[in-house]
Amino acid sequence: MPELIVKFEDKIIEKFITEKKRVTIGRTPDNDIVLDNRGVSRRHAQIEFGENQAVIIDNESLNGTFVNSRRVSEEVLKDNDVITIGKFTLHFHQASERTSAPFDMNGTMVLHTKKQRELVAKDQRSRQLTSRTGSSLLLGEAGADFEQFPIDRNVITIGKSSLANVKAKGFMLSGIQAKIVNEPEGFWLVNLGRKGKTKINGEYVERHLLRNDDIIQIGKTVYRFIENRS
Amino acid sequence: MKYGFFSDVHANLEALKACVIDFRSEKLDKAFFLGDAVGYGPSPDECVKLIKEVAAVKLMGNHDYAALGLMETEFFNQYAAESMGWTKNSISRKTIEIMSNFELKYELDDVLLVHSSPKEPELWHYILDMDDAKESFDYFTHRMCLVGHTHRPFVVCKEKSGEVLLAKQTEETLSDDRQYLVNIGSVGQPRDGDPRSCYLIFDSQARVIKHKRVAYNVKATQNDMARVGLPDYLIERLATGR
Repeated sequence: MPELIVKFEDKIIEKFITEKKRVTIGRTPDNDIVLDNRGVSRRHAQIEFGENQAVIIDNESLNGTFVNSRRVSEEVLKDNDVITIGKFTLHFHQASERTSAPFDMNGTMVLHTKKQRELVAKDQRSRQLTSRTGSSLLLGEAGADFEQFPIDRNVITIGKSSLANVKAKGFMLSGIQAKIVNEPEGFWLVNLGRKGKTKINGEYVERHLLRNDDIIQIGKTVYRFIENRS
Repeated sequence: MKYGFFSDVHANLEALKACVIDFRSEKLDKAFFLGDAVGYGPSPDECVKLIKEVAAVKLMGNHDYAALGLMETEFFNQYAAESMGWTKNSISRKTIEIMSNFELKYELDDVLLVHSSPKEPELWHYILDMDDAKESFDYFTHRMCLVGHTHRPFVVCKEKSGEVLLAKQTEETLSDDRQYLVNIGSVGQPRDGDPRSCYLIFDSQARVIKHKRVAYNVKATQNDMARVGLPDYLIERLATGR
C-alpha cells in the first residue's frame, strides 16, 4: 500500500497508509489528511490512486502544491517524491508494509509564507530555464565551470578526465567519476569511479533517480539538477 | 629507457599473461596501455586488474567506454555488440572503477599515445588505409603518434617533403627528419593474419621501435570463451589472427 509521511519542519507528524482510491488534503477537518495551517486551502489537493500509479491534483489552491520543489496542477507521483503544501511536506512512498496506527496531530501551526514565496520563485526560475533549453539541465554551483549545462543526450559524464562532458574537481576523483543516464523512468545518476565521491543532497550514493532540485556533489564540485517536465 | 606499449587486450587473459612475461624478459622500464581492456574476450575483470598492475599509463578504448555504459553499441558489429552485452553484465564494480580512470590520451616526451586516432580521439576514428594515415599527420606535432584500435600493426612515416610512406620492416630507427604514425597491434585479438600477440618496444636512447610478437595459449582462451557462451565466430578468429 502507498504511504504518505507528513512532516512539519522535518518533524514527522503523521504516517498515512490507505486503501482508499482518493485521499483529500486540506485545512478543514473533513479532509483525510488535515493540514491545519492558514497557508493551506480548505480543500487544497487530492491524491487519486489508480491501479499502478498515484496522481496528485491541486484544487486551484491559493498557495500551490509542489512536487520536488516544482509547482504542479496535476502530477503522477513517483516513489520518494516530496510534496510540499504550505510548511508541510508529504513524502510519498509507493509501497509500505508498515501498518502502525497514524499519530494524532497536535496543535495549530503558525503561518509562515516565506517558504512558500521562496518555492514559488524557485519554481518559476526552473520553468524559465528549462523552457529556454527545452531539456533538463544542471546548474553549476560551487566549483563548476558553467552556469547551465543542458542534459540533451542520453549519457552525460562527470569527472576530471578530458573525456568527461562535465568537469569536476576534487582529491582522488576518478577521470569519469559519474554518469547521468536517461532511462524511461527519468535521469539516473550512477557513480562509476571511486566510492564516496558522489553525493546527492549530502548523502553518498551509488545510484540515484534524480528529482528536481537535487543537489549533486562530485568531489568538490556542486551542481543542481533541474528537471524539464514540459 | 626501454618502453613497452600494448593495446587491445580484449579480455584475453592468456595473451596478456604471455605478454607480461615477455615484458619482464625484455626488461622493460615501463609499460603503457593504449585501450580496449575488455570486449570480445572471456576475462575482463582479470585483464583489467593485471593491466592496472603492469601499466604506468592506461588509456580508454571504445570498448572500455561502452562497457562503462557511456556509448550506445549500435555502431558495433553484431559480434562486438553481443560480447559487449555479456561484458557489461559480467564486469565487477571494481573493474568499472579502474576503467573510469582510463585516460583519453597521453604525451610521453615527443610521443603521443591515443587509442584510435590523433584526430578527435574521443570519436574513435579508424586508421584503415594510407589516406586515413596521411590525414592523421595533420592532428599531431609530436615526433611519433602511437595508436591501436584496428588490431593491425603498421609503421607509417612522413618525410620533410610531406611524402607519406608505409615502412616495410618491423624494426625502425627513428629519424629526426621524419614524423611517425605507428599502430602497435593487438595483444588479445590480432587481425593481421598472425595469431600471436603483438606489442611495441621503444628504446628511447637508441631511438628504435620494434613490433614484438608473442605466442600464447590460444586454445585455453577459446575454451574460456566457449564456457561463457561468447559467439563462435569470435572464438574461431583467434586461431587465424583474422
